[in-house]
Amino acid sequence: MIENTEATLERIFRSVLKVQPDEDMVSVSVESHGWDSVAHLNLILAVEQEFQFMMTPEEASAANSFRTMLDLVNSRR
Amino acid sequence: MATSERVTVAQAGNWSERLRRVAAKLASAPSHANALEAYHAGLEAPATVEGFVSLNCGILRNVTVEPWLPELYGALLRCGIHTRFLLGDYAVYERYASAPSDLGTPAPDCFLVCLDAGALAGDARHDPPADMADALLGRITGIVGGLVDRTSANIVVTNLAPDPQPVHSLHGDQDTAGWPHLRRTVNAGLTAVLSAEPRVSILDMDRIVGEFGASRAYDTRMYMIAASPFAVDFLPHLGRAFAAAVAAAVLPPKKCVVVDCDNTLWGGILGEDGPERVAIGTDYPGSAYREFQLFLVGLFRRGFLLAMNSKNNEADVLSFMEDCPEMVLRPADFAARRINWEDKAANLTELARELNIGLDSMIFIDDSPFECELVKSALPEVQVEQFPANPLDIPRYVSAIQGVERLSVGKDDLARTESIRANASRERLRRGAPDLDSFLRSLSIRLTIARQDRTAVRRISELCQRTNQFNLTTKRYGVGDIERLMDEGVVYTMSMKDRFADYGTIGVAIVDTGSGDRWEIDSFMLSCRAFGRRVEVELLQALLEDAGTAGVRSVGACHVATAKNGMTRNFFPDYGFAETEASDGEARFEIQIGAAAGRRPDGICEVRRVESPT
Repeated sequence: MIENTEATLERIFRSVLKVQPDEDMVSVSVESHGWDSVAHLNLILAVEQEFQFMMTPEEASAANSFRTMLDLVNSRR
Repeated sequence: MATSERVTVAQAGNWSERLRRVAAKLASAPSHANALEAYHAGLEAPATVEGFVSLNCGILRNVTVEPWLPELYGALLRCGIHTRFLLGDYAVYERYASAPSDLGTPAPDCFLVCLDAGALAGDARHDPPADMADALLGRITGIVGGLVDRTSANIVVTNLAPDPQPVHSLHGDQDTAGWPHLRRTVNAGLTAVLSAEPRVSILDMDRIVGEFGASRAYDTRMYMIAASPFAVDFLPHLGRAFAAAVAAAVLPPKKCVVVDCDNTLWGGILGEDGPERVAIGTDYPGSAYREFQLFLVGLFRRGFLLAMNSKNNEADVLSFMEDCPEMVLRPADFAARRINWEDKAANLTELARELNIGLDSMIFIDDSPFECELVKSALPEVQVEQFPANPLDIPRYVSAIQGVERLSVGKDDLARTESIRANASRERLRRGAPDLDSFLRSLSIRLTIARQDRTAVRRISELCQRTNQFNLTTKRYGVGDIERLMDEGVVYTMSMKDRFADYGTIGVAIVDTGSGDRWEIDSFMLSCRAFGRRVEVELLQALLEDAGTAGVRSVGACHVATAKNGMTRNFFPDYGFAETEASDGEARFEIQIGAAAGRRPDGICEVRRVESPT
């Protein structure tokens, strides 16, 4: 089974953040769900590893919601 | 939210299954995301989970190690250890070394002291003061010493890793006052001081970074952004190294390694292929199995018991292991054995009883997936490590076996003392070798010269095929030819050991014994591994002594020139052979037994003669 980008990213977010199984990912951003600086670092590392690219510092700090991270991944693929 | 509550209740009932599941998922699909999933499961789990050893681990650090935690947790979980971490604040090692309880509760039963070299040594790395190495060494040993004195915990220390982006590298290679050299001085000093303390283990970052590859181990971007030094792909490797050190300290030690024979101790099946065709020795694929035997020698030396569990005829295995010159391990090296046609699980149970150890202290090594599965299901407490089918995979396999680092303190100390002594004597050896004779003597060369050794037929044929330089006639015999030559004449093999290594069979001489009163040396060769030690003369001497004993009056020989064997043109004349004939590229020689006057063995090598049963 091949996951699409959004599903893969959702899986990564669920492994890092405290998102309830029935909760919509669109609501997830840096203000919620235990998204602190450690979670941010782990998210960046896990996303980079999964999608095989490196973010610039500016991209990394701008990726502060599920939506912006998804846009970033799509723009780099 | 009724659904998720129900899930939580169900999970709480079976944490050991859930932890096993996330560990298995991480093992089959290693990624930072899966490590995080395992780590978060561990954070939710109660402090003690059935089937896992609980560990509280305190971490002292001067960089961002938070991304390591999921990977460390995952690696420990795979060793059966469920860990809670307590993180110290950045760089204030001395605070926790003087008051470990400042780290929080429960008190750690294990500390990881992470030392980032850049943060620890700072800008001074670029212009090091004269006392820098001493100062750093004093600081680190003071921190570790504080933890040793004030806690009863095990302490794992990562020493100073090489710089991710070395500058002035070539200059640094030469400069004894520069940082690269000082870093190594500090690391060597740490080993010297801390190895005396049984509760402390060092993780050598030169080794761990080197194994993975220095160019891939670092993420200098994240070091600048977030003080996180390592690349995410390196973290599992670091985690495994840490887990191995922790497991060695906290899990009950393994005591015995039980090995299968066929396709494990050697390549091939003794009962089917016969002793002359199974692979063991210094050439591939035998060399791979030999490496495995040497690995077992290392375990034996460090106090592990060895045992055999094999489906074979016991007498065949024992005589082969006793007689084969290229065998490293002999039957006497094994504390117990079950070589029979019984069920291997039953054999293991009996071995445990005979050696008076628990099944849980045994590691079972077998190439057969069937036997491995049988033992796993019948005796789950035995650690089963399936041996690779491809001999090329043996080195990686050996380095990945878990549990073999575990040692009791007494034996560890013993081995350490021995190796210190060996190093000291090697150093003396290097300093005091003024001339070739003394050097050769100091090597303690031991030669074994055998006649008609049918276990060596393949190796003899390989030497015939491959030896170019020291080869008097360069006849390329196959295995069948060698067997025939053994039937018709005498085939000599010479193997060599010195204090550093076993070189296996390195010399071959083939004699046509003719009608009996005159022998002809058909072939004579020496592997390039054995050049420069004057051992070839010993083989010739042995051959001529035998000729004398057999009542032979003269021995003939021949040199057939090739593009590569010029070094052997004067081998026979130097020994005292008379040249009887010389034509384009071919020279004939003859020696009367008892009348020789020329180069002779000089007593440097110890020679043992072996007559193989015919």
